[in-house]
Amino acid sequence: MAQQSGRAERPAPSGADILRGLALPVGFLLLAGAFWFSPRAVNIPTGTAAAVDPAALVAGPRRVGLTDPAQILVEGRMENCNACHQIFASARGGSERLSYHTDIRLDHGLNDRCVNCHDADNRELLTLRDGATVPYAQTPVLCAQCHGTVYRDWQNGTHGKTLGSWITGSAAQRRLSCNECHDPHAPRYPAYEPLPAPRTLRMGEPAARPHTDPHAGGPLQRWRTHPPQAHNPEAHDTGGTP
Amino acid sequence: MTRLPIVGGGAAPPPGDPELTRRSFLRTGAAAVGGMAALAAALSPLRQLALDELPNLDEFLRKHYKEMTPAEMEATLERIRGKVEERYRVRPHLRDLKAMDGVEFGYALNLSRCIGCRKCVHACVAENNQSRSPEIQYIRVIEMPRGTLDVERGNHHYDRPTVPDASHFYLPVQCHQCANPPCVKVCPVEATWQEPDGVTVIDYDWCIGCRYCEAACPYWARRFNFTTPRLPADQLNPNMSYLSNRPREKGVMEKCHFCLHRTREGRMPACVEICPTGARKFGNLLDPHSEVSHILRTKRVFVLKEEVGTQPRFFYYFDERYPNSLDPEAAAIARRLREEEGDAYGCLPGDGGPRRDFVAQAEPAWWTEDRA
Repeated sequence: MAQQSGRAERPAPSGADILRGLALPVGFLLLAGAFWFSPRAVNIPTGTAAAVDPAALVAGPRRVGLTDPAQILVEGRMENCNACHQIFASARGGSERLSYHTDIRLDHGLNDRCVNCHDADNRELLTLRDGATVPYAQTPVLCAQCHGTVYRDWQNGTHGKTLGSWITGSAAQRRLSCNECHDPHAPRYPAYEPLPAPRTLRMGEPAARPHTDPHAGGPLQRWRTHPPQAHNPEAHDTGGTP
Repeated sequence: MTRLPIVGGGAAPPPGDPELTRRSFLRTGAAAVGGMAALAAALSPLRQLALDELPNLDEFLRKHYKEMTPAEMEATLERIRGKVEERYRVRPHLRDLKAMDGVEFGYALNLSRCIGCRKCVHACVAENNQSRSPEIQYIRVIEMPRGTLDVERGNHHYDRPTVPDASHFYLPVQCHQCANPPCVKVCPVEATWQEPDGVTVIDYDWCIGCRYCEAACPYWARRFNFTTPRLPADQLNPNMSYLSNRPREKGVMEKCHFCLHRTREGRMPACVEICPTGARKFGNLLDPHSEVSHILRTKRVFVLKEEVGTQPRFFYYFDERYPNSLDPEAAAIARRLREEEGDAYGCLPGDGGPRRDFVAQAEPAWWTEDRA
């Protein structure tokens, strides 16, 4: 009964009552404002990938080795070796400089004589140490005489490069020959220009070098590259031997 | 009994009702309006959803990869083809390739040969339709000082005019396709799993983007699409499969999958084909004559972070020291190998070289047939 008569007895609202009444709507409106004006999304930096020349990404042999019959470019035309060499006989085992093949840079260690590998009588063949000759297509047999372990690995596929298919014995599988990767006259690999460094979100910008920037990298990396001792030796006294 | 307050209708509230006064009506009303405004503001980011980002009914009701029947799979592939065509104006050659019988893929990488040229990194990006902006790369080439193997001190941002640097070596890292993969264990929705050929794959339609797998991977191999991947249409590789390189959406994980759209058809992964030094080797671990099997049997092989028990199918190896006539120690090793183990190859020219009959006998048939 007291409730029923409450309406008539309700006193004029005090300031506290009005504030209490406003608290919920004002709170909601503040929340709405916060939602509305908060940033829509985390601003994710999206740099553009450094351009990579598509020509650098063509798979295939690194170089073209001589095939049979051996031909080279002479004055703009492909000529057989013997086309010249049956006229111009070259000295056997001489140490004279190359007079015509000036593009050849001979840098093969102790192996610095043409006729160590090229047959002196027939320049379209290669010569083995026992005097037998092999065609250019069988260059690996020639190389095997000195580079035995590499040849063994190449036969097993653990040295060198196989293209086409991973299925052993597949018709599409092609194992590159020695001279399709190495220049026989200078077999050491040349230096390569590396393609652009990563600028991914996961790996960070190139500028953030973990070794120089104390704020780069994860916590573990920061701790390891910039240990706390370096900044405050007293704080982390290891208490080691004096 | 409580009577419901009557609002509107011109009828005055019954006398004596304590529930509704002008003040309480205003207070409740203002609170309700404020609450609706707050809800609307909270949902306002939905306005930014483009129409094509919303899943249609088919996508919404799709099944898990392993539960789809061939017909349902074909319908799904057709839907993805349409989506790719709409976005890139290219009709993709998309299919679902299954694992081959009797095949377990393995990978071996020769650290003696890697020169750090990063060709594999970019060939992979070109092959697998990763986002170009922001950049996503599966392979990370770490440059480390020679004589160390501390990836924490490695640098993947090395920028030199030429590589290799004489005082450093290079360790490329990508998904190791573990036999005991921590990333698969932590996935709460089974969006990633190990296939019968040993490759851990991701169903990009099933991934919820929680990134647990990224945290679980000890090799830093998983990548997340924080934004909608951006890929110029002319750089799209139309040769795709469902579990490998089809275009991804925002908010899903991706990673190396051994180029399944190539390798399940017998081809080599893109990183293997591009490697200019032949440092990368790929093949079937179950085939005793495959290149990777030879490497596991005869080379000094190790796996990264062996102690965490992931059992990777990605192996690193070194070449032995080749006999060098200027190195007496190596010459002595070669001589010993020849005498004790009959290794006809491990000798020097001065020692007679491999016997001619041995070399001829060892020529693989396919090699002489091909080139004779």
